[in-house]
Amino acid sequence: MKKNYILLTLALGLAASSCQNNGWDDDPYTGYTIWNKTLQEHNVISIQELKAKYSTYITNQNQFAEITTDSMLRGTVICTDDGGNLTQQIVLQDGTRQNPGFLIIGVNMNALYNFIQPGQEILFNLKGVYIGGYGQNAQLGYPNKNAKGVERIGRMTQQDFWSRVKFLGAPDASRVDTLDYDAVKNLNKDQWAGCIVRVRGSITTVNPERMVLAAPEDADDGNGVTNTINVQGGGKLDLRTSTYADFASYPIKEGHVYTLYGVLSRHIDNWQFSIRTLSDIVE
Amino acid sequence: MRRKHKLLVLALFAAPLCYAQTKTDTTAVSNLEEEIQLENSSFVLSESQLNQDDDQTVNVIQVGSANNVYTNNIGYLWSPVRFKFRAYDSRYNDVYMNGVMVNNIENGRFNFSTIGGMNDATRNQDAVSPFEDNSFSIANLGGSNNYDFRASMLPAGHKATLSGANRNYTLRGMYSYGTGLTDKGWAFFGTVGYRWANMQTAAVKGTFYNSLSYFLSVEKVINDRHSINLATWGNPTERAQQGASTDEAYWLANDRQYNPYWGYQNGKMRSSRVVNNYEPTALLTWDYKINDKMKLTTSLIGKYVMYSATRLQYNDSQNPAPDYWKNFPSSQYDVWDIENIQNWDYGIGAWQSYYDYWTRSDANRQIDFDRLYAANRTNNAQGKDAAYFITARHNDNLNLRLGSTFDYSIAKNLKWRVGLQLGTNKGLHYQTIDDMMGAKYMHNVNNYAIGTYMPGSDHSYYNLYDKLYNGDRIIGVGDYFGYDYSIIVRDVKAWSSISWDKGIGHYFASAKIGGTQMWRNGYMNNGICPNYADGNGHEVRFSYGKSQKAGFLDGGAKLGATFNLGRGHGINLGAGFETRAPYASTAFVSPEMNNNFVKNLYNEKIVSAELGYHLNNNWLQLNVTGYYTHTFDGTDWQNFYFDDVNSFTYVSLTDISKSYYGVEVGAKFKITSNLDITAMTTWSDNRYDKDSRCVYMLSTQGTENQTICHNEGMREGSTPLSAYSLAVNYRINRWYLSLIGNYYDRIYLSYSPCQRYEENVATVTADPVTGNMVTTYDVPEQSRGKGGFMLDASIGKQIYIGNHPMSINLTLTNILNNRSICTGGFEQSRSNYSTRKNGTQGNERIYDFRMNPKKFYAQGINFMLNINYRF
Repeated sequence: MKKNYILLTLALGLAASSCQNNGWDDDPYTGYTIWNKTLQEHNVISIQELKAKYSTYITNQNQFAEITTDSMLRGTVICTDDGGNLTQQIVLQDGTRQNPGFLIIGVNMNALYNFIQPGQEILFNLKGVYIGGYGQNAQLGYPNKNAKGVERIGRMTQQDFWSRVKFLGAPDASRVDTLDYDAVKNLNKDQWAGCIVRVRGSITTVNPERMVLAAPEDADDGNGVTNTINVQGGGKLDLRTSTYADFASYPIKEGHVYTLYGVLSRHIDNWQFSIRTLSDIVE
Repeated sequence: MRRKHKLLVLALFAAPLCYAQTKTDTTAVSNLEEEIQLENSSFVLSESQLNQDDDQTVNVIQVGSANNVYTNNIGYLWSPVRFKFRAYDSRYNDVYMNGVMVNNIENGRFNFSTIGGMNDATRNQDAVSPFEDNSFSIANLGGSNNYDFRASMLPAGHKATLSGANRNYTLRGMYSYGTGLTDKGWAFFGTVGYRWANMQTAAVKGTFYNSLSYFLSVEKVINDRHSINLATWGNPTERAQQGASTDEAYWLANDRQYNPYWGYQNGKMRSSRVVNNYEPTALLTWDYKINDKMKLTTSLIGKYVMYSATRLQYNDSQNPAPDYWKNFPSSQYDVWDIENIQNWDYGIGAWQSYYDYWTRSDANRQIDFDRLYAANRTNNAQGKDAAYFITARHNDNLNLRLGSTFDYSIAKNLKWRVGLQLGTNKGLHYQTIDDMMGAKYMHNVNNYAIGTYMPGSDHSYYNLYDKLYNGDRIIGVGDYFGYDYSIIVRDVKAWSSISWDKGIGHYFASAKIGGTQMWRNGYMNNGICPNYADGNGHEVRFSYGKSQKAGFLDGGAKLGATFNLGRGHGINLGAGFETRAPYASTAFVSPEMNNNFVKNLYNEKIVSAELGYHLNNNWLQLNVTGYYTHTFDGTDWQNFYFDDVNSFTYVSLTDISKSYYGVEVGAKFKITSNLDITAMTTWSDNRYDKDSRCVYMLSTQGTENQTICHNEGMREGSTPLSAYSLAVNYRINRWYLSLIGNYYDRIYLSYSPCQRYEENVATVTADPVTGNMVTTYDVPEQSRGKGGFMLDASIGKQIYIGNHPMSINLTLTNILNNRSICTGGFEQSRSNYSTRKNGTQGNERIYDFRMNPKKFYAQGINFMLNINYRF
């Protein structure tokens, strides 16, 4: 009888002692969306209309305003923070190829590219979000005050961002237009800042002793390095690279002509070019 | 006549039964007390609330001496706050089994959880305080224990135990059976137990406990002189851990047991930190009674430790920890300094937005596993490596130790003992992918280094041979990731002790000498620290292959005496000096990366002394002890993710000098034969006497950075330095009642070395008068936790079912539900400003890391109901 007790105890113990931390990949939940499924499309306005309405806040340094009207944007994400050069922001494009609108959305979240890909069409709910200018680039976000006391448009919380976003279909990279820099350089910066361009030229580094894209030793207070692209066919273009970019240590060959892809933004009255990922550099 | 015979026989049988019954009454209650105390001992309780560094070992000391009221009770009375004896690290507490030392050779600590769930086997032990002579060792600073696992010494008969609790585990069942020594000279003892809690029942949300224990011991007494015992045990355990968090998190969650380590996956609770531990052990003991005066005890122990601890990792993506500092409301508005220039109305709005998110739902403040899987699916679509994955950090050990003690009673009052301990250990340290979390791709690549070095460059590979021989190998579940190395340690220790009585005194003198050798063997040629050829073309094994061997010779001596002054009065005193080889766990700068030993690696020197007074009479047992210990040339090591510079960092501290001192008082008042009162107190202190030397290495650079760590004045963390206790114990009619009040105070948190690096605290300015450059230091005060009062109670009763005793006891801890007692924690290793990649100081952050240390708090009211039945 006692033997039976022992065997029963052992059997119960062994039966109950199965692992509690197994099988998580057997039942992966694929129905999750980080974005807001409940958004309904209504009162869609264009980026150009939005920028026109708030142009004074965009062009005047360090101003911002809350969007109080119930309206939405419908556009395609053409650039994410993939590559670490553009941090915590995406670029949205709408309109037509001939008459597009471009807008930066700042989000207090790293690695947005883990959730949103270039070519993804989205709806974006504008009501309650803030708009302002960052180097006169139009940006949606939330007011921010930095350590020097400067007040300007910053980034919205990630919860706020995703509650305003609805994905429309699957991402399609072919929706991302790439323009020639030569075709854009003389166009209106208010409209075209934020577009994706292709540019050919050699690179002159800010410090000739360090022939890499962004050596930490050469960084300014913004953790970035501004080199110069000697554009083939004439002219110069600022090449802005973060020291935190995955390709910050990319070696530059003196005099070599590269084909570069990236975002053409503005720094006040000048164009500024930023490579997105390593594959944007073609030797 | 026949009737008279029957009566006589009955009377003869009844006499011992009556005697036994009387004896059982007293022993039954003392068994009950013992069981209650064992169940509440520190080494049984605390397995989940551990710092990263304490992952593998419960950092508690089990000190005890029946001769001392204080040491006999602290493990039981003060375990809810994880009281450390004299604030010593547990490496100063030696644990033996049948005379062979079993502390981990690499780090010096014993993992008490590996003998959990086998309480009937571990009851029989000899525990001594630091200056007590004994038959198995020279007692360590924090005391020594010797478990007796001989089958003949373990309880005979059947015993079944069933327990319920709202602590680490919810249910426990144990069964044990012992034969005692049979007429044929055999003895057998076995026990099996199971402890269980799942995520719904565990006291701390998001944890579980799953542990099966077994213990078998067989002894054969061959003849009057020889006996052999073989014992084997193990307790395969799977448990989820609890993480410390900040007061802000506890406030937002409205729960001081908030645990950031778990989250929801598809509506089910899942832990990111799961420990799997199994240490099958075999112990062979030979007892040789040479003659009536000489005895030789020799034990050989072998075990294979399988230990792994999972961790959620992220790769070029957002930190998934729900209590990551950027997720807190106070990262948006400085609540500690309202005048902060970055505070403004919009900051309050952002603060409110974060607050609302945290408090809106349980899920919002836990890990969102569904989201992490979604991120990996996006990365799959883009052909990228996993953004999130779970790794398992393995610390496996193959350990073999031999301990032998020769015991010689030279004369009635003169004993001499000599012992030898030999040990070898191969520690296998590696990390594997435990779960890809739906990701398709992963490479054995150091993503922290990318940016500093190009993707695909040699520096970016954790193992250059992957690049050379395996191409662009994709790794998956079970594959090695990040590091893989072994550490081999061999040690030998010889000791001798002599004790004698003369006049009113009992004296002992003991000495030891030992040697330790250690080296590392790397199995990955780390791209940051690759092997290279020196000027003569010889390969320098920087990370791959065997390191140089380091050897240390250590030793020491201890003297002690106890004087019986008559009428129960006595004093005891002791003093010792020893040197200790550094442990392998602290001897390498960054063992996960390379073979380099820490520079300035010396034996730690320890001077210790103790003076005590004791009184023992019919109504009072009193012990008063004062102690002083000074250690110098110590070494310590830690590693953590250093968010300031987006890099893992390895920190070695050397030239550590500390002082420990304090007073301990324990008094047991025997009011009546049924009632006694125990009062205890300690006031202790310990400090770093001077700043330490520091070497740290970043996993993104591979270069050693020398600095000074301004840790002078810092104290040992995570234990009360002052504690006071009053316990009333009452026994009547096989009832046992106990009411205990404890007050804890002066609790410090583990300090962060990097907050005290020279470069982080020093400011050089020109003296306005002389123009000379003057350096001033702004060293942060060590963070503290709050103590408080805790009321505990126990009630037990023994009843008989037939002739078989059944004990029922209930322990209630923290009856007043005081949840504000801090049991430990640590400062965050971050700066209040951002650090640029060129190392210069960037912007001041709104979030104040110095004001937000991570803490653990005592559990609120909790219970344990224990029923056992002997048959």
